[in-house]
Amino acid sequence: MTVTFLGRAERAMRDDRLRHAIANATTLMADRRLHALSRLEDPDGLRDAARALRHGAMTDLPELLDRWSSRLEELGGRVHWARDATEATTIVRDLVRAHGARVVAKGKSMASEEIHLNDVLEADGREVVETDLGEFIIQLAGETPSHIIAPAIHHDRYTVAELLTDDAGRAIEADIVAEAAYARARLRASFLGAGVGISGVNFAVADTGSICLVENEGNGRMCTSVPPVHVAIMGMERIVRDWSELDVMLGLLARSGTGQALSVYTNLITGPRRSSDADGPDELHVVVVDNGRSSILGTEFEESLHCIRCGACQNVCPVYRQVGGHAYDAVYAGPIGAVLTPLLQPERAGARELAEASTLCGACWDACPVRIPLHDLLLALRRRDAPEDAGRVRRVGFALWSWSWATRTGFVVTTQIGRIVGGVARRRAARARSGAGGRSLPGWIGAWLAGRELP
Amino acid sequence: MTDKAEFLAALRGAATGGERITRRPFADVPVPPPVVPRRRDTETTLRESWSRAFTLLGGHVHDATRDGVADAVAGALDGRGPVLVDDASVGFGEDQAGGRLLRWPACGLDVAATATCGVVRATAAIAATGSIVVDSSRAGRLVSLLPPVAVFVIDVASIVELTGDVLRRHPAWWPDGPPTNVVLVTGPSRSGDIEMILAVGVHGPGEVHAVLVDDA
Repeated sequence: MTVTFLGRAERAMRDDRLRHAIANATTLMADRRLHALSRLEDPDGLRDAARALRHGAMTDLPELLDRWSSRLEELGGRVHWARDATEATTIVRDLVRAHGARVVAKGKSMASEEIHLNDVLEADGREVVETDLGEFIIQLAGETPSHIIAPAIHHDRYTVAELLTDDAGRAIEADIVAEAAYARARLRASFLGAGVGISGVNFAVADTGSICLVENEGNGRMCTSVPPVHVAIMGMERIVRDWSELDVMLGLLARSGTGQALSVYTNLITGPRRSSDADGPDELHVVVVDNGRSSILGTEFEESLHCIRCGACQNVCPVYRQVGGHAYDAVYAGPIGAVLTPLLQPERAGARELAEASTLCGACWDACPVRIPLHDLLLALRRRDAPEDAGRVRRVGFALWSWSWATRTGFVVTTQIGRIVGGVARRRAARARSGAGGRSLPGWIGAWLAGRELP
Repeated sequence: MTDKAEFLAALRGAATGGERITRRPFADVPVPPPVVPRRRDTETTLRESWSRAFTLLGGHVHDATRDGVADAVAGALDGRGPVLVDDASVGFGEDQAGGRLLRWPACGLDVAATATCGVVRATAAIAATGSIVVDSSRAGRLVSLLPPVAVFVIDVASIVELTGDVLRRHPAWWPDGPPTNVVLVTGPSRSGDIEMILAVGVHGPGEVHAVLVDDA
């Protein structure tokens, strides 16, 4: 992996197939979002309300988690509390061990990506099968998700066919229906044979001790219904107060993500199987993960915990749309990732420069279903890190910049310099256009000017 | 591995710690506002709006009287089998299934996995989204999940307008508290994970039928 964001971005931008795939997918999702929201009576009012509700939930977070976990445990569920990734993965590893599960069927869960759960389980000798079609594809490719809700959008049917052909040991046609059919047949055996099913959690409902999981394929239903043990991994901020609040969040989540009114399957799970139930897992465990979140709570960055993981900010971000998710080299890409990564993993190399991977245009804020002011947060991150991160050249540069605008002398001197340089450049450019000389200015500045007119 | 009290204590400490962004004030929301469509359908019945939304999602609607449920189900199945049903099922029996009836959970997981069709009774339906509500107190979870074809039997009287009519009034639907598993099913199983092009029937049923039972 190239070390800097710019290096990775440059590489991504040279990959035409990648850029085409990402432009196609993000444009479609952004359009569908607009259409879906336009069919609501007051989508903006709903978003303002959702923002306030998320704020309320964060304010009462300890009480809501307490109420939710007490309810769930009364119903026979087990709640585990994990301060960091190591604790979370150890809890899950021990649960899988205790049940002697050789195969683990896993539904899509960003929190499990965050704690690198698969690595730990595989090192413990388990076969972990990602069952969401997109996650299955990137598992075969040995990659990480490049989008919150569409993890394999950087692929197309041809690269998918190559991966599936390798997996099958026979030719799989580059046809989307055939590819999906292969995945269905291939993964069905994993569902039926898995000793443990692992899922994420979209929302936990404090009042009833429920967890809510939304998905389109049915793999989430499988993972939470077929294996005898269900383990759900949940970021601690996923909590909502009651089912009315859940209704608001569900009303916005799918509309903002894929543009559906609701995802195909909205699963509401309240405890493990009861004696009167025909089926369902005998055990339900929920692992609540902090992993850096409590360091955000109560700070000026708290709104980043409001995120409901719809991916809308990624679809509209002019940076993400050009470079895709992998350029961020982080679990969460795009605007929300650029905010969350440096906050959740401050020590991670290259995390802080992600705040620079933004034009601060505010498109993310405009698209966010819970109206997180992402551009404000990005700016605040830059402000926080600037004193430490800036090198000597940048310090001098910005000191000069500030001098030229803040003092009369500075303004006069720099505008005079500008006038002289501009004059030279204009004459050179005119000569270049008339064919008198080669490139008017050397290097990248010349290349940049070649397509531009000077005033 | 962290103790619950310890985990929550850390949050209590943090939640009162630093300053918040106050530049963009929060709205005052005494109760969560309803999620309402822009054009509320007052001209047509809930049955018609639901049927339209469900059909747009790719579902198939069959009408039936109380006595004609089994026949309507048989019509939707069109001779296909084996058919997976559960105890709480719908009057659809051996006769209609041509002897290829599998009873869940008695038949066991491996046999159930061979079923082509599953028939379940729905709890409710939601007109605004074309959704069907199934819950584990009335129907086995796997009956409407494992087979590639699912048939839902829905009482017309159970159709409501909004998602909120189910979620916000859950004590009315489930007086003893929510059942273990409530699923809002909105169309056939689908994925857009490859090139955002729709593939149906990825893990759940790719073909969904609704038998609307009207007592009127």
